[in-house]
Amino acid sequence: MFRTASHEMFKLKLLGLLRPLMVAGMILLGAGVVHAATYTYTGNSNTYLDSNGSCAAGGGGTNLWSDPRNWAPPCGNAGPPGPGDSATIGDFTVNVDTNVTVGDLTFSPAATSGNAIYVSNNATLTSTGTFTWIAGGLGNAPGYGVTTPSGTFHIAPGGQWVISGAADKRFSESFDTVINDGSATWSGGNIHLYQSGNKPAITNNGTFTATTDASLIEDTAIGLDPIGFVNNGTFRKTGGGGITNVSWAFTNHGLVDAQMGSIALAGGIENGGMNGYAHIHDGTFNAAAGATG
Amino acid sequence: MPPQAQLVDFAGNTHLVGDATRFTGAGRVRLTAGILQTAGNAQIGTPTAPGNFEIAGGGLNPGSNSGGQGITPTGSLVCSSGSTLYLTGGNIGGPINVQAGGTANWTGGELDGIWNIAASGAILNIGGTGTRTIQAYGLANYGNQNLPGVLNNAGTTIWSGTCNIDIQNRDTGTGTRGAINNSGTFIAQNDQTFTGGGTFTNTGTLRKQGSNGVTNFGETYLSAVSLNNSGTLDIQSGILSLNAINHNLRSGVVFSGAGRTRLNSGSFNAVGNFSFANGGTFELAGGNLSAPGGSTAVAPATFGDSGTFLWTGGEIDAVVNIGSATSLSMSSTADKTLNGYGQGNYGNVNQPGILNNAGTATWTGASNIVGQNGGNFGALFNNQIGGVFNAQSGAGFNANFSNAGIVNIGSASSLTVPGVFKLGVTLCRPPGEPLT
Repeated sequence: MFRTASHEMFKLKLLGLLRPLMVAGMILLGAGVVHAATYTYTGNSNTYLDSNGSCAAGGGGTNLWSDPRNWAPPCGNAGPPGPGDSATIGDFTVNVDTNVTVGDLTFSPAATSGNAIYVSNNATLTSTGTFTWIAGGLGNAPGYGVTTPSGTFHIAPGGQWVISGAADKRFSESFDTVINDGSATWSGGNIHLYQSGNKPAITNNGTFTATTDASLIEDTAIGLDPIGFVNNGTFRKTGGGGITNVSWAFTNHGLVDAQMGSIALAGGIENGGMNGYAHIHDGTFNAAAGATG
Repeated sequence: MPPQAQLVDFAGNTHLVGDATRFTGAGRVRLTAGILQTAGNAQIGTPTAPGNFEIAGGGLNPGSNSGGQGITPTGSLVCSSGSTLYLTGGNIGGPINVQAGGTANWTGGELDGIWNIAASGAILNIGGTGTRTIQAYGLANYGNQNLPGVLNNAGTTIWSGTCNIDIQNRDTGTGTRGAINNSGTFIAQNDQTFTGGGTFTNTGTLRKQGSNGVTNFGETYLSAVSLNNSGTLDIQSGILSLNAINHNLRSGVVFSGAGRTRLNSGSFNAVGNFSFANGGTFELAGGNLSAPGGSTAVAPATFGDSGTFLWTGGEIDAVVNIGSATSLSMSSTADKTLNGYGQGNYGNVNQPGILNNAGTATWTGASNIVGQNGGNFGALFNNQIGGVFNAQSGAGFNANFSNAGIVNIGSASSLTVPGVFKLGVTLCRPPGEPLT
């Protein structure tokens, strides 16, 4: 029998329409055979599966996480990445404009690129696996002077936040940016903060462990950052025999624990008492025994 | 020195700590710069986790409701049992409470607020070199409340090293002075000096031990520290020397130990009953032992029990009773004066110096006993019934003398009384030698 071109096109379209349902079904029915995919952000240059189920040329002109054209692999297993998936973002700036739950996430732009991940539109980017931050910025405010957050990075309970690599990292115009309900390990690179407004850049409800002598560095002009880091869980230093300087405004409601070297809180508010600002602590500060580095 | 261990460092700006704040661990939590402000009772250590807190710089301030000015002191830094506070620099403007079983070590920095050392085992060690300063005004209170630095010791304070303690006085209209109030045990283990013009009030035990030199309460009018004492002066070795300004003795004073408490200059304003223990000695070497100024009814200063009133110089301007078990030793080459009008009482009561001896008085050396204005104003040496006066000096006696006891005049002595001489019971003179 003849296979007409229109027949082939129809089958492709049908496959295209059914593929999302098939993928979802595989995930739902998997029970141990979930086929989490690995995605790499490649900008808007990829082919993608269009609404007709056809592979189309990339190039939509967006930097949105939600745009499947921005993710590799292209057609056939198109992004954006979702629950259980792994996502890698290299030297790009990405705007997370809708709620996203992802398994592992790695962000590793070139150290001096200025690229960042922004969460906007009141969205939440949740990592249930390991969020590895090697360089670049995290932010959630659309611009300088904006004082309300527009989204949140969330490290889920049981999740891991790995802050690694020698490159400096930064929070830019960030408000309530990262909420850590999991376990954070910081092994390298200073973390800069510029303008956190009256909301913390990091709220730690889990554990935040520094294994490095790197520092939290305040870059904002004097008086603009009343809160940078709120610790409701455990902020601990277990590595590096020297000093971890915390020049962010730091509030401790939990445990600050120096197991090795020194944690120096010099936080970002000048003339705190005079301005009514202060670092408010009602938690515990513990310094363990041992030789000071 | 604080333990060399891991650190949590408050290194700048203002940190507000409250009731739930805890500082724990065998390492150090340290303030090096900025302000640690107590809005509640932040605690060093817990019953199960002792802590070490060091103030090396910056300031500890009481809580404020408006910041900077208009201070309303609230909260404190509490050092709990088994925990240690180190003051190595900076300023303490906020209250510190060292609880029973807690320890504080002060080797640097200033006390600008209130420091309470609790009874029953709290310890404060004061040491190091240089000067430990207790300010006359509170660090956080300038411009509003002049709250001076005050050390309230109800536990044990041990002063060692080579540092002086400067208890400052800014008494220029504000009336504020730094102070030490000791109701516990304050031990000087060195031969250093209190300076600054402030006050030391002792209702407990002020002890000197382990050194044979002099612990001075200042040396000049401007630097001397006033001792207000109704407690025990337990001088186990060496000398506790009071100088230059007015000091106060009130009932309850016990002179104890093999050393001595000396009034070297200034005035000892004395009234009430004083006793001796463990062979204690009080020495009047200079200045004057006087009654309270301005009073209309002058009560005596009574020295009782077994001990020694050593009179080596200075004046008696009050009624002084020497008890039956007490030795009065009048020695040295300096004249001893029974003042005829009472130094502290002019304008109210012309209380002459009267020395009532019911114990054993021994006069030796080349020093005269002078009844200043004695003939006209009634300065009197009154040897009472049971009293023994051993005159073993060849120097002059120029005061009224009344005897109802025993007077023993040594072979090389004479007793010339130019004023009133009342003969009582016995005058003893070696056979063949005249009585003048």
